[in-house]
Amino acid sequence: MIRFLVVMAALLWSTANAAPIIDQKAPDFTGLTSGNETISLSQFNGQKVVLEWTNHGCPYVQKHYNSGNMQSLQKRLAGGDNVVWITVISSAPGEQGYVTADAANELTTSRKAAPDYVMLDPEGDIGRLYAAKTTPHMFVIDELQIVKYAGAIDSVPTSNQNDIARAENYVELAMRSLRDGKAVVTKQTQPYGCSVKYAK
Amino acid sequence: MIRIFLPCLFLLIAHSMSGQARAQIGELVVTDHAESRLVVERDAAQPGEIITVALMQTLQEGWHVYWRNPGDSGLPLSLDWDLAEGFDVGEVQYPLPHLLSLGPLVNYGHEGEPVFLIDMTVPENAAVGTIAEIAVDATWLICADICVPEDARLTVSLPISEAGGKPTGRYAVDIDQARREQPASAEFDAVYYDAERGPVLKLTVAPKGKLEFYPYAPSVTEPSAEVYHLAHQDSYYLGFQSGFAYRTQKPEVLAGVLTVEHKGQRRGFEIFANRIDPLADAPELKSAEVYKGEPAGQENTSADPARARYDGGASQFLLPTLLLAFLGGILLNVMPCVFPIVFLKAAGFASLAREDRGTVRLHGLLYTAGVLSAFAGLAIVLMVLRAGGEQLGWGFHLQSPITVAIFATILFLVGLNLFGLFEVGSSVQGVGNNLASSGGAAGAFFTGLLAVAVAAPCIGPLLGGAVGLALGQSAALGVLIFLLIGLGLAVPYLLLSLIPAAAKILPRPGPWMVTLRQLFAFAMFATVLWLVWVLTLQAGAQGVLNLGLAFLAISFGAWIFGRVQRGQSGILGRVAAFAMLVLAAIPISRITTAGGNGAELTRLGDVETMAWSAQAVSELRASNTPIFVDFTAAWCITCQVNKRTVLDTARVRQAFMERGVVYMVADWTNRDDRITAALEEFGRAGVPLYLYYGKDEADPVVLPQLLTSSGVLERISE
Repeated sequence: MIRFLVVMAALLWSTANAAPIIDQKAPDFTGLTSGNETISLSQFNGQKVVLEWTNHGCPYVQKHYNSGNMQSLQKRLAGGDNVVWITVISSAPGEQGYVTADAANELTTSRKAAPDYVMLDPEGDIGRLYAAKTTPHMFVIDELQIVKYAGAIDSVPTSNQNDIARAENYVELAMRSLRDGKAVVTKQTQPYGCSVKYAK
Repeated sequence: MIRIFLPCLFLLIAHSMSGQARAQIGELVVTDHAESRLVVERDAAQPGEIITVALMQTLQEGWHVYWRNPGDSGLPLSLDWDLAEGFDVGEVQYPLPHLLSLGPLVNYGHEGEPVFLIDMTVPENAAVGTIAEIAVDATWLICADICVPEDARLTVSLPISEAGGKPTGRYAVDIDQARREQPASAEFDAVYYDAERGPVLKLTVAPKGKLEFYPYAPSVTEPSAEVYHLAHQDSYYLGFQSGFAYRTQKPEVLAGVLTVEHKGQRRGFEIFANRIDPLADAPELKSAEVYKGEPAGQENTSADPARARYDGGASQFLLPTLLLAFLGGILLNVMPCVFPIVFLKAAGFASLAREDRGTVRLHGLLYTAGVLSAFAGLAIVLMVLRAGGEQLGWGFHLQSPITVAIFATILFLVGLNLFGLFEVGSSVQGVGNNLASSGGAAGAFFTGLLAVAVAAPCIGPLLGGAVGLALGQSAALGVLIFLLIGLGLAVPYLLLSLIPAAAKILPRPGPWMVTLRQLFAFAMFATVLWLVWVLTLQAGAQGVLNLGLAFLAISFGAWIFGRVQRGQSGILGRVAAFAMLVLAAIPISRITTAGGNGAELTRLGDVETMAWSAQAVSELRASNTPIFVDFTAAWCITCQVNKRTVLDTARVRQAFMERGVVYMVADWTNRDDRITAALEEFGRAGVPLYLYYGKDEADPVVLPQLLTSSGVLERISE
């Protein structure tokens, strides 16, 4: 029965095409974290939220983790500011990047990553809700739960770590603008990376 | 001395010549999932000329690379050239893109052997007699279900000569073909306007065939969203869901490639559609889903004319479809595969003859409830599975050999029951004088369930259109259509049981009923025979052996159970009978699809036969060979009847051979998603489906589901 409802819900979403729209309310979601906690986006009302779609087997994700770029961004943004970082894993069971809760926590430890939560989304519901297309695919949501940025992590779409230095980090730029009370300049970009491994 | 010197000289010359011949074909670089090389179209270049360099790749089966706009995810080819002074290269010219879907995402890309063309300018001052070294660091993302970035340094040497060069062998042919397949400039008007959902492309007059538009810029349209198609007056409209780049800023020009697929040929046109003000009389574009439910008007609502014709035909009006479903349900009672159930039901009714009205009515209602539950259940299961992305059609449950074996076992048991080996129900007081309770209330319901399960494959031929329509509908409407079919199937018995006068036509009970019951057992065994034959094709000899073992166990169990009922055996007998039931389940559960040789289905005398595939069809169409396609399944009795009585007759075989018709078989006995998809293209949810592609005809003709020799002969001699 639950499976039936999920399928119906997915159908509705796919027809409604509910991709989040910039400068509009972020779609709320509820899900289970790797720490076995149920969280909702709406409970972080009043805080900034960064959503990061990931798949540890994807070379583009590895570009940003093996270089330490993603971890350092997580720590820089978290420092002092009222920011919640949620990493989302939408790989379906059997697909690349799918992990159990324990494996997800192990990845966080071994990569010295600092997300506040790792959401497990094996059904891909949250992924479809946000029309997450690639790993990485980033979203920045402000204190009023308005989507302020969606797209690529930075401006150089390659899998080469050496390109990070010369790239503009769109997430960091958006967060900086928000902190300074300015409008975000680059609001949406084409995300790059591996396709999110939804169930086929 | 000279004897050593001469061969050496020859070797030297031969070596330098072979080096020369290879020079314009760069070295093959093998990466994990692709093989790549650079090739120059000619073996030498003149100073000042523009010459084409090709990056040719062979991708591993199942892997793809991306077009310049990769769609939802992916990255296009990136080239970093390393050229001698004065040399210059232009933009990459990509081959025509294809839609590649991955779950909910859609990408634009290439599979197989893509050829990327690059125009290179040779400087005026290039020194004649020298060799220019051309090198490129190529990076590409290649994906199957996972993605791998790959890179390679590709090189090629190009001699500069006063006279220029000749095309280099077979690679020159490939390059020439790749160039001819490049999008041409559009020979029709293209403009676009902004609509509520996003940009709408208006083409006047659009080329004939299946149209797809690939915008150059990423995120202008949403690649995975449905494209609305509409032919209106002399224009063709394509409506897109806007992407974020479009919403941020509407472009002055919507640029991209329009691909046209017609008669198995695919061409591309480059489009630069200027933005115009929204049309005052803009036609309303709708989802294809909407059209399926509404009466199709005059307008051709689909890019594929064949498809539009079938959709339109089936969805003229909803009410007639519902009526057709109901009448079809009644007719099902005389279809070959429902016969055994009719016998079973008739036996039940005969036994009810002496019962009071209340019981008769109850049984009639329970039977109807059984039929309706089975239809609703099957329809809901089917729709949910399809919604989940499974490619299934009507009758899908018989695609599993285990289900077939279970049905065969149940019908075998029913046969034994009719023979009187054991009784079903609680009160057993002798076969002769109280047949009434054999079967019982639960039995009536169960008979209804069984009727539908066994009748399912017969529904296809009679109600193909209605079932196809039902599956394309919203869930509620679809279930309603199925329920009406069910009501039709049950209504004769329901009327018999509800109308008091009707019961009077039933003959008076007597000893003849026992004889009749036993005769009906043979109808059951005939059905078992059919299911066993189906199983031979699905699971081979091993499967039939397993079924035989199950029969042995279950009949032994039934015999013991009968003894228990007659008081000839005690509690031990009950345990033994139950043990036999469990024992019978073991061999059945071990039946696996063994791909029986299927020769039974595919053979047609000496006529040239071929397994169906979309590719084979388009290849034969290219050579203008007439094709007769038989979408069939072993469990589809109508298919077998058509095959035996019409197709596999001397007259038809003769005609096929005389006219050079290729007989193509799409065997749906076991699950095959490609065949399911092909059936759906013609608005069908099941087999049989017969198509005839005539000489010089663009679209196939759909033959009736009940074939006649004269009909087939007439069709192929046209």
